[in-house]
Amino acid sequence: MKNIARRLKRDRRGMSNVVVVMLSLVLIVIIVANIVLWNYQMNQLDWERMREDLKVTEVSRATSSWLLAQGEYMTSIGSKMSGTYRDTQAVDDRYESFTEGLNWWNLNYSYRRQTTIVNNAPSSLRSNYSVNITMDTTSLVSTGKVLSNGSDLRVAYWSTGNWIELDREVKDMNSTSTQIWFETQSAIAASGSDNNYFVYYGNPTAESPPTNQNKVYLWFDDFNRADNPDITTELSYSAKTGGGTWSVQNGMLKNVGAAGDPNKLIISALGNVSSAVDMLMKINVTSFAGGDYSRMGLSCCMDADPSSGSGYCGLFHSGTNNLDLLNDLRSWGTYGTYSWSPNTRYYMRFRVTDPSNRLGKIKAWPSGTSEPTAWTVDGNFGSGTARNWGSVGFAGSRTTDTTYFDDIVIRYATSVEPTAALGTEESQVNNLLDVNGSFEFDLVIYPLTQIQTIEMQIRYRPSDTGEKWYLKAYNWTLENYSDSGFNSTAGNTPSSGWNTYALNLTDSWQSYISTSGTIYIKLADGQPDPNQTSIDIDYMAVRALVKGTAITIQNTGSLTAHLVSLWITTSAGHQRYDLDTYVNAGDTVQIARSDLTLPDTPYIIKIVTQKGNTAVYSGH
Amino acid sequence: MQRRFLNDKRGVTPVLSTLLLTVVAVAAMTIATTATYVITNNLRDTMSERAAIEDIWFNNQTHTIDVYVRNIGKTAIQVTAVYVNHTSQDFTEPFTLEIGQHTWLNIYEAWTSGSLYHIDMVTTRGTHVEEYSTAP
Repeated sequence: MKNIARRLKRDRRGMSNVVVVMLSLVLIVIIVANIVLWNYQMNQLDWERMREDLKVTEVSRATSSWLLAQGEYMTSIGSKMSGTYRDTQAVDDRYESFTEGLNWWNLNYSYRRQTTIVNNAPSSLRSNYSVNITMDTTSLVSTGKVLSNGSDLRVAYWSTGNWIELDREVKDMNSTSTQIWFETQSAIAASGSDNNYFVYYGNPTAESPPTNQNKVYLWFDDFNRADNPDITTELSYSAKTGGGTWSVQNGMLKNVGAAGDPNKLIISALGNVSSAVDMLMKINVTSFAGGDYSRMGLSCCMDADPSSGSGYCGLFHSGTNNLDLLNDLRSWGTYGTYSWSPNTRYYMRFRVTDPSNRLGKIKAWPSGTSEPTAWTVDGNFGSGTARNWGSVGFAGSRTTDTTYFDDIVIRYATSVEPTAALGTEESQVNNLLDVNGSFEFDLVIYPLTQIQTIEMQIRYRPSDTGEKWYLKAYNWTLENYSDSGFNSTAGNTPSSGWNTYALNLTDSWQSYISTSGTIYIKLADGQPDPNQTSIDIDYMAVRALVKGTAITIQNTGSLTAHLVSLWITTSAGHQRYDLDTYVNAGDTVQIARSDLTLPDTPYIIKIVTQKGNTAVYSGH
Repeated sequence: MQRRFLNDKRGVTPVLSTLLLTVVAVAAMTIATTATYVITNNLRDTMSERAAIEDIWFNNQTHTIDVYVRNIGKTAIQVTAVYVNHTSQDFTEPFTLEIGQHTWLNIYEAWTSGSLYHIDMVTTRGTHVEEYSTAP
């Protein structure tokens, strides 16, 4: 090594040669490396180009995605059996089932009449208000539609998806003016109505109906129980005031009067009754001494001022020709004239209409006769200090009179009574189904100006293939459901198994969508029939066809493809559109172009990638 | 001093020779480096040329064969010659396509419906872009 260094020091030319060779080598290496590396890059580009593989799988008019129901379907006719609306959001093995019929309470009953309760008052009508329907049962009995004893005359209430059978009292069965009493199940707004009540009948094998009159009225007691020498031992009548005895005897309430004032039996079960009530009972005075202390009847607004049991009263009083109003221990009110007889059963109806103004009414009439329309006394309780609402009960004699009371009925009362309107008779055999669903378009994504028409589709399976099914939409202009203007109004006659039925709303679509983008769709059968068909809905959806064309592209290659051109070629010309879309390997994209309208003649669509590959689709 | 330098002939030659050698070496290296750069660039550009024919339209209205060309390579290309069925054809005019650019190329050829045509475009660097197409 030392020799080489020494030699180089001596021979300067050798050093120059080494430097030149080294520089030349460097240049050669640079050239080769540059070429090789660049060649590698271009080879890679070619390699990637070869690995691109695109397919145009579908070309169609641009559409929105299928809109699905976002809430439970409503059945205005028929009823839901199982499933939920979520089961109709995809074509799969899950479905929602409905059955035909008139949303019938009990299939053992053949007929019904819808009943609308109308609140005629300017204030809300409370729930548990006793109302009555008057209907002619004579013709129904004679035609065999109703049992003569009325046990198949029932009242049902449709309450948010559930049927409730109501206790009812039927009066004057098999007459032209049969009254059916029941309690309202929910409050009715001022001047409003509730049509969810139905009177059902037509069940020859009907068993005993629900007749608990304490569920028909605020209070009812017929005292039909074992004799009890002291009714105050019963919890419901635990409070009495003044003198005398109150007992149950022979299915009636018996009062034997004695000294004391006021002598009352309070219906303690009701507590403080804070609104107007109508009180009706039977009364029979079997022993009547006469004079001021002879007084028996009904009492309301009772409190402890000035003495327990003090209240407003309606009474047989003093003689057999009197029917009077009394404010206990304060003032006598209006004296009425009514001729009555001991040992005779009468009805007595009593009502305090305005306690603060000391107003009340009373009337009486013999049992077995029609109730008079007019009140015997429609007056006041005198000039004594007015009372407020309070307890209710019976008023007994202050002397040795004996009085029997029976069949007490207390119900809420208003100044303007509600009325009940009966609808026409409906038959159970009129099987129909009416299923409604709501679908919402997002108008930000699909403005109405871009929509060309609307399509709807259902996949369903009926149990009966013998009838047609129709899809209709709510016409916002005509305010009813219609299929007018659809591409077909013939309906769909299904085959057994699953059926797909689709309709196009053509140019009339604008009538069927609200300005906020809502569409209501109805599935209904054409005609009522005796078969109760059930139907399974697997899929129900709506979509809009918007302006433009949708092209679905599938990248079956192993690299992301950058789409740069779209060609539509027809015999008339070649039209190019710029694209700037990336499709990941194995992915599928849909390109929707509102500026691209498919020709009516045969065409070729060509997608070009940045690397120069093309995917071609032939259509017509 | 000056006289001594002029009289001593032996001192000039090594200096001159050294200077000359340096100049020659520098010139040679410059030429070599430039040549390397030019050669490398040309090779690289030639290798980088890629073009794709997006569409061929046998245009009935203009009676031309309209070819839509896209530069998909990594350098600008200049199309200088077009051959249809191996015969040189008149076309719009030589044009340059920058990277990613695309344009129509109109070939003035009286095409016949149903005939197969081999279209070959040649760039200045000798790259061929070829395509077969049948006139509709």
